[in-house]
Amino acid sequence: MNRFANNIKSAAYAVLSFKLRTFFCLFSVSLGIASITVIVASVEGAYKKAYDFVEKFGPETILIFGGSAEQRANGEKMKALTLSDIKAIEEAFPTAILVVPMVMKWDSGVSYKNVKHKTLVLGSTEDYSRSWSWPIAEGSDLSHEDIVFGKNTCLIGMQVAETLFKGTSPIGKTILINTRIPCKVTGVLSDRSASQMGINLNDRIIIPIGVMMKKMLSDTKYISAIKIKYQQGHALQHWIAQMRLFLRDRHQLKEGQSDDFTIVSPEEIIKFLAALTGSLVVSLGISGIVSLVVSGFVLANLFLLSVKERTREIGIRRAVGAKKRDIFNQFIIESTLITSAGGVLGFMLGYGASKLLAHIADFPMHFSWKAFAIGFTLAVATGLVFGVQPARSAANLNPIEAIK
Amino acid sequence: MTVEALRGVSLTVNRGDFTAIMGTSGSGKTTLMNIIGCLDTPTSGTYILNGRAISAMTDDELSVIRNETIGFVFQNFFLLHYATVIENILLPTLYMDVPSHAMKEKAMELLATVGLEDRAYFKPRQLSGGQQQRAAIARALINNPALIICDEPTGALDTRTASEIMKIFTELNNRGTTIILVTHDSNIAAYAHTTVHIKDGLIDDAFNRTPRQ
Repeated sequence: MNRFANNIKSAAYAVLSFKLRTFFCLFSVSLGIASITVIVASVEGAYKKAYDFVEKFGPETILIFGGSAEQRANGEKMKALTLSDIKAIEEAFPTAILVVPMVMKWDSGVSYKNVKHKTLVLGSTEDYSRSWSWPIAEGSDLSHEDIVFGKNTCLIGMQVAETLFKGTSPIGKTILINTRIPCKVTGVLSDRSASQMGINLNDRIIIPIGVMMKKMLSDTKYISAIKIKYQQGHALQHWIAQMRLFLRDRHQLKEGQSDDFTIVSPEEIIKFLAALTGSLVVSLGISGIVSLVVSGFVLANLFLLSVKERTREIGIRRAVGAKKRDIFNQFIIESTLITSAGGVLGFMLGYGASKLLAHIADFPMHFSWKAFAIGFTLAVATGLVFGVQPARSAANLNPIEAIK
Repeated sequence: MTVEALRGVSLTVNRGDFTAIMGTSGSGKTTLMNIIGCLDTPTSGTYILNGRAISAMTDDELSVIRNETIGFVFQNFFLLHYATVIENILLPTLYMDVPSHAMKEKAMELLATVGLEDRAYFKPRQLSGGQQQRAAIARALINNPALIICDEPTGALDTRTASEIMKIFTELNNRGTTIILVTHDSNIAAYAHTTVHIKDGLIDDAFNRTPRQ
């Protein structure tokens, strides 16, 4: 053990002494590790974003849109879900504890005094915030009375509050929607981290669904979507299947006809994002591994050169009692020490690069011990794998030749 | 085609001897030195050191023998240029079972013996040739070797420095260290008590001078 400790000591000494070699190896390995760190961080970032999204979506909830996926893609009218569907679902599924209808209109004008803003206006019920697990930050939620009696009240998102009220409290103030519908602000929704799938969630206004359908949409039958929250601990997949059959039956769809609605579940969101990140991992992963392999070859070459240059040293060490194993150990430890340091440096480089990337491109990045552990392990592996050949040739030098 | 470097050399060196091996280049003296120094093994024949047959040993066993019983002094000093003098002297201890820091005191003593006590933390390149060779001698002594092998130890030094170095060897021999000196220089060989001439792989002419009492 003492002997191995001495091998490490000799190796560390050489690493510090042969500065140029150390610098080049360190540099090339750390670039490889930096790219791998960025990859791992972005993959983790994407997953974290997916799970965050699901958390906000609600793990026990589903969202049903009117219209099939194709119809939605073609931009066709998606009048399929109705208010009577809501009633029917509530009656048929007691495990659906919240069944919340939604109608929406993008880019609706709102104003307070002479400040104007364009935002998403959503018509829904008092259960909106609960169904999205979205607490009220200030003021109070819409009440049952607001909905039933069609009162002109509203909830506003953080962004709307900031734009229209600029720091003053919006509670109790009346804003004007579509220049003609005055709505009293009852509460402000809490902050939902700025952008989610390209949508600023904080930029929205929620008003009672009846008010919206009558006064803004002039359509009292069709709704855009239904959000359903189930009791905890129930098999969501089972309920999704049941819901699909139920709606198909209600909408009198024949066999072979495609659904006129789309059910989105948290699981599907994760599946979609996983597929997206999967392709990212493959393309980035290949380039990362390639750069690491290249750095490995750089290392092996520099070490082989170094062994040649240090033939005399190896001879001296052998003459004073070093075994082949000692020489092998020393050189493999030298390469591994350098690549380990390259691993740490590469992680820091990757961390910096990721921060920059996240800053300029709004790319989700997440760092955990995992990113570091993967990078460091690969760094050590590079040193071991590409250090073997030089170390072996050093160990096998004939001491007689080496001290000529 | 194989060339036999040595052919039927029979030589006995006793404990405490100071033996010079002389010969021109290509005479086989280097091969003989490598075998005596356990850096090489003979293709046939036997070599017994301290009562142990070296000729049949493995590479690892030879390493242990070199580490425990032999000290080398080379013509070009062969110090590690990136390490300090004291670290060079401690180099053999890295391959011993004793912790090398325990040997540091001994290394300092040896430095004093060769007159380099104030140069312990210098790099070899900051020293003169004579000083470097003294450091190399201290390194050769760190393991209390039964045998010191010097290969042209004064070859890179001027005459005055050479005689200083040879005085150190004489002194060491007087204190009981066995020394084998390989040289082609008869002035240097004259410091030894016994001289063995090698020519074409054979002992050409051996003669003894009575060891000084």
